[in-house]
Amino acid sequence: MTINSTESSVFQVPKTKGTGSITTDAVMESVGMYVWFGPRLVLADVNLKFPANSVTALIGPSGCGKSTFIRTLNRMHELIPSAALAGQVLFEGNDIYGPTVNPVDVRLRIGMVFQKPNPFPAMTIEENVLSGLRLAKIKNEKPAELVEKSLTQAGLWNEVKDRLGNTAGSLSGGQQQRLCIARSLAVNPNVLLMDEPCSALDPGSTLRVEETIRELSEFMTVVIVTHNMQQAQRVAQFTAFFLSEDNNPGYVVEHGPTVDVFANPIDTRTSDYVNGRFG
Amino acid sequence: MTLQIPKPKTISRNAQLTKADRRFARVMTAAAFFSLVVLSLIAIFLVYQAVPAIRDQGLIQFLTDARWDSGSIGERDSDFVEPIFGIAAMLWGTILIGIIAIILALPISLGLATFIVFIASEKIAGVARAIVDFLAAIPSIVYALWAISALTLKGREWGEWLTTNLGFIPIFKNDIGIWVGTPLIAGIVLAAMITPIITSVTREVLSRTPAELVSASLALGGTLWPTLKYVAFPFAKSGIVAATMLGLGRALGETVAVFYVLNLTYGTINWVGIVSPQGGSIASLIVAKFSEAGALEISALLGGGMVLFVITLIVNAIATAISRLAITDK
Ligand SMILES: Nc1ncnc2c1ncn2[C@@H]1O[C@H](COP(=O)(O)OP(=O)(O)OP(=O)(O)O)[C@@H](O)[C@H]1O
Ligand SMILES: [Mg+2]
Repeated sequence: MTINSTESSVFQVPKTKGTGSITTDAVMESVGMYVWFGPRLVLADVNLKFPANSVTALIGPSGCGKSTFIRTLNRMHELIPSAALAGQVLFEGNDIYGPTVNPVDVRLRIGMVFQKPNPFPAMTIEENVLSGLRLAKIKNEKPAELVEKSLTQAGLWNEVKDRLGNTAGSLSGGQQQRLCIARSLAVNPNVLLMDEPCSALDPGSTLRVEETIRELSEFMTVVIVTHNMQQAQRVAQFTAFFLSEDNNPGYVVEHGPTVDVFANPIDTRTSDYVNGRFG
Repeated sequence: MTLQIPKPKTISRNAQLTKADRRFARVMTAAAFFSLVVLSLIAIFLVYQAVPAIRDQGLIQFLTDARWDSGSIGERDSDFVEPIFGIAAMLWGTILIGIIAIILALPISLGLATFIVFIASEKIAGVARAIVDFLAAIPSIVYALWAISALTLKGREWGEWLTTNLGFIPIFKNDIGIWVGTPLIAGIVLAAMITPIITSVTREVLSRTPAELVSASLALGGTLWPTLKYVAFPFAKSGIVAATMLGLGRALGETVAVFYVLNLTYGTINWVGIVSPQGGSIASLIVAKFSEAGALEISALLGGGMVLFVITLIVNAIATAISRLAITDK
């Protein structure tokens, strides 16, 4: 397919390799996604399927559009003033960009954890976990149980159960990130998007968060952006390799089961990237 | 073998400083000290100047009496009237118009600041910002002129309407039948003066709400209002308090704009009647009386200045206490 990436240049979007081997039913799927910042096209024709209760890793060099893409999956991209997009994100069969869809509902079903731990500093640990309910005005009959459940799922309960009334700032960076995961889980989303959730964490906390991700994937779908190749192999069943060459828009070079992408990549650039030869 | 635990040692802040740092620190300490000295000197001057009047009247009398009478020396002894200087009506009047001003200015300022930071498009926000900052820089005499020429007429209509329709509520009562020179009008002028200041400072603090917290809120399904309520305002709370106190401080000390629109009434304290033409303002009192005052009255006016000074200190102390609370209450 040929498209205008900017006014002057024409960019040929290559077809994503390897996608054929994903046959499972997808809970979420991006279809023909194009993303712009102002006049600049930064992502072209992204078609990815996210099978239910699986972890998909998004990898690729810096600036290729991984964060941009993951933000289109829960309608956070459109909050940037110059942002624009075309294409669909099907969630349980319905386009989240459909005319009757409320973005707030989308964000409640598809949660997000950010690169930098960002708990609400003025709230206690407990209030942070419940903050999503407050923000979205959701009633809960048994908040104490929800706090315990969410913190347990996020692998933080034992460390904080005796100080739920302390401020979030009193936690370590790794604990704060797990608190943010608990906060997202408390509104009971079906999908959790994580943009480099471990990049600000020490190795111990990283492993702890990875364990959490594996546990979560038993009952929810996770999409995780990571620069850490080992991490992708440790947590993800599927991997998508994004690339943006020569200032052209980013696209998905290869997508498939993680084992294939790492052990038998179809594209030589995938092989070069996962083996640390560039990026 | 027993382990010898060493004594804990605290290392002074001074040890972290280089020579240049130290010199700089000394200069700053001196500057801070100097401003304290100046402040104390002003306080001492006011007290010193006020002593004759306060000794003559008695401190309690001075603070609680509403009468302000320069006295007179007539032809005969029976014409002689003892001067009485009580600040109470002016003191309460000052506080009353300050309260009116804050009640009117604060919601408008918060709304405007929120609009500029979180709602308006970049272009509109830029224009609004420029207008607000411009308004904040207008000298108070301009507000006074506006108040005299336009606001007084409108204020009379509003006051009359309030008395006619809501006169059963004490604050809107008016037994005099004149609606010019009321605390409401003075309060409105002050509100107009301080709204830009409060807006400007509030906008500044709100715009520092960390973007990642706003993102977190939106990603959790928060819409604009919950995001403001649970994220932006808690973050900006102490700054908003500071902005309000800054505005209140200016309102309490404002002289000229109030002087021209408020009818000063001595003798009775107008506690709540905001549409009654009986007002008080220490700063206006000083303007009104200073040029024709005798020695004792001048001393009494400086006593008024001292009271104003103390109110300002109290307002600041409250502001500091509230913003401390805001930081440590969780
Ligand atoms: N707010 C923005 N406004 C304009 N351009 C942006 C904005 N955010 C990102 N971009 C551009 O979009 C492209 C993709 O950025 P993105 O942040 O998605 O990359 P990334 O793959 O997440 O990189 P990294 O691995 O460094 O996080 C980059 O060229 C970037 O310059
Ligand atoms: Mg990124």
